[in-house]
Amino acid sequence: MIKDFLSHGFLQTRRSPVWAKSLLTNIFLGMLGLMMLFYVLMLGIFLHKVADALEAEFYQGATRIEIISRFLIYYFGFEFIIRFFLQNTPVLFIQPYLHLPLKKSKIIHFMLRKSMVSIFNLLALLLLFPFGVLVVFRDMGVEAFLGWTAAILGLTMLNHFLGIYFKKKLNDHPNLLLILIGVMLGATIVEYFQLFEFSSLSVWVFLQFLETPLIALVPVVLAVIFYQLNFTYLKNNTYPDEISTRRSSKPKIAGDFAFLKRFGKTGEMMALELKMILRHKRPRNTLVLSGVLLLYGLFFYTQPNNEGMQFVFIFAGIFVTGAFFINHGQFLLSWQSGDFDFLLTRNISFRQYIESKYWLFVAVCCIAFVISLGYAYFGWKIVFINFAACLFNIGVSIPLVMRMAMFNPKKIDLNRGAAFNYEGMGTAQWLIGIPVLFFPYVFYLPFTLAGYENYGIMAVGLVGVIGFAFHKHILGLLTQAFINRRHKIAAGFRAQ
Amino acid sequence: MISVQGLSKKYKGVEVVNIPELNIEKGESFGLVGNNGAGKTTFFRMILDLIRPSQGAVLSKEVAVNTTEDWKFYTGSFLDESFLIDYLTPEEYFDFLASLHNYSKGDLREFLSQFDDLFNGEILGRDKYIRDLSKGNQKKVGIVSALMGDPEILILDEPFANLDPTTQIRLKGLLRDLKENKQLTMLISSHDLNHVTEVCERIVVLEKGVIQEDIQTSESTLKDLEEYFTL
Repeated sequence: MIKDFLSHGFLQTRRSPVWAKSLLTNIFLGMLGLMMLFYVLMLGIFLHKVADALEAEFYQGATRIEIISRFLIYYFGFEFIIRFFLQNTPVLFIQPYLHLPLKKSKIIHFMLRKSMVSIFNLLALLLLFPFGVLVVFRDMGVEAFLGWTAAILGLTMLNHFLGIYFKKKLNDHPNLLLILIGVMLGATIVEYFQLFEFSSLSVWVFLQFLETPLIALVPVVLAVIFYQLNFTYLKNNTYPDEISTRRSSKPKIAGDFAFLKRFGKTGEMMALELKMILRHKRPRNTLVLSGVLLLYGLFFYTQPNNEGMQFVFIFAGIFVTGAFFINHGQFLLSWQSGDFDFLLTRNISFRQYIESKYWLFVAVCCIAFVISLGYAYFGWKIVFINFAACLFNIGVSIPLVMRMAMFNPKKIDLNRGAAFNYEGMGTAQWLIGIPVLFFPYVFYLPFTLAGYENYGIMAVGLVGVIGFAFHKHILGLLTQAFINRRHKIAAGFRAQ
Repeated sequence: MISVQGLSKKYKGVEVVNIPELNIEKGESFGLVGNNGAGKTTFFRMILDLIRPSQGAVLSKEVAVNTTEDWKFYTGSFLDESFLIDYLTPEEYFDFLASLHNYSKGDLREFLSQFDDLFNGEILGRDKYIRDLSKGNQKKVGIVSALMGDPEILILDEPFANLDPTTQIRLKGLLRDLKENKQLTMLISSHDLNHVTEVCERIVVLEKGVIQEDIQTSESTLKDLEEYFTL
């Protein structure tokens, strides 16, 4: 039975429509993952060196074990947060098995045990096990080493099952998140004002584990308890409608953007696009990300010797004002992959469809520029640069991204989550950032190298204005490109 | 065989199913008709313990379905595509089910051979995943898999929808045959009054979650039902 589940799990990934199409992406991500694990392992192997360095710098006289133990409470706390955001249990996996002659408990046990095979559970082991062998075992003997290992494994598993349980409970009691944030804030304050040192607590606890290895079984037992809690909870909540309604627990109908109706059909299409964005997790995330990227400028402007970095400011300006159309626009048509046939069969002119996209990007670009006016604090020159960058985006980069995105777009299932979802990524999406970010320099660099930097900035802006002056013509070309490719694109979206 | 006691399901205060009492005898063929949103599928889901009732319980062989899982071993069902494992090929799916029902390879081959007509050569050996089959062919896979393991109860939601006329007729023959020869208890919901009156000997009309009519099929049933649904 377990064998069947395992093979189904494997086939599900192997045969998932996304897999084959984005094989390259998967290989890339796999390599990235392996590299990260390798780095963690390296860090683990040299952890005692780190401890030595810290001793010399900050904690004179402390042993290596004490120093590393100081940080473990933070490490596991951090790991918990990462797990909270990135780890998910595939509850929906069980749906097709519920009506079959199979015990629910069997399916749930399998699901929970399978969840243990996770990269997150390797991290602590890779990071801390070498230290256990190289330092704990050598300094304190085999019993302490066993205590150390048991504690790490126990805490990892505790974190794992606590994380799953917490996430499940969060669906019932959303306030739990506030409590968690409150606790973390409280802890930070207490630590900051040195009312209580968590690091000392951490040291004390880990020394107990090492001195009396039996105590290290406490986290292991706790992990088992949370496994059981998860099991009981899931067993009582295997009703698919409840699982799925919980997934989209907020049927909030956000805005109808009536004011856009004034702009005719183009406006209606923009409203439709905005609704699509606000009502689905993934596009909403790209929007939020674009908001966060507005702060990206701070990264450059606050550098103490930013004189030497002036030429990067164009780059920052493009990014600050254009984050939305880069992030969202790269999947231009893919966002509509679910209702693309609708789009093709209804009386919406393709020109209006393309225009609605263009004006939406232009509008967001302008809004981003207005918000970025706050950067005037770092000097008016930054506003000047951002303005030029904004014009360039409107006149050149937006049409460019739109055109590139039409190259072989991939299907996106809007109802899937956002984290680590690389659906829709194709070659064009990987490459799209390069021209957008570097094209402005074609106009900027010649002037700057000749010593007329301001003219360079103006040239960038001017090219943007020229591009915008021809926007009717450019939109015509984009529409034509869309019309020429529409059958191929539609076929691509329909094929799973 | 199946009895319902004080069953009610509410979504956000709106009652979608309210059946105070209903008994389905062994060997009965039970047809459920009603307009969209009448609560047919919700009712079937509660029989299969896929939805937690707000009140009351469904008993299968005198045992509430949400307390044990014994009913799973004598109940075959197919409500919608989520009952299928859509990334498997039909063969793989049948193989998996065969292992659940302790069928040998030979048993499975023999079992599937009964349905050669129904499959019409479009299901097996086509090297397609279930998700790539047409809706009608997915339905065929689902119905056949519900029949695996000689169930005593068969629950089908809209079995005739999406099927081509030939298959509809074949399926009707198959269901009548099962009723006569195997004493199978059948629960079938349908929009199609013709089909359901042909197959079922008892028809229940559901409207807004409440039973409006409960009739034994006779010559005049089809006409009566058509009158009922004509507004």
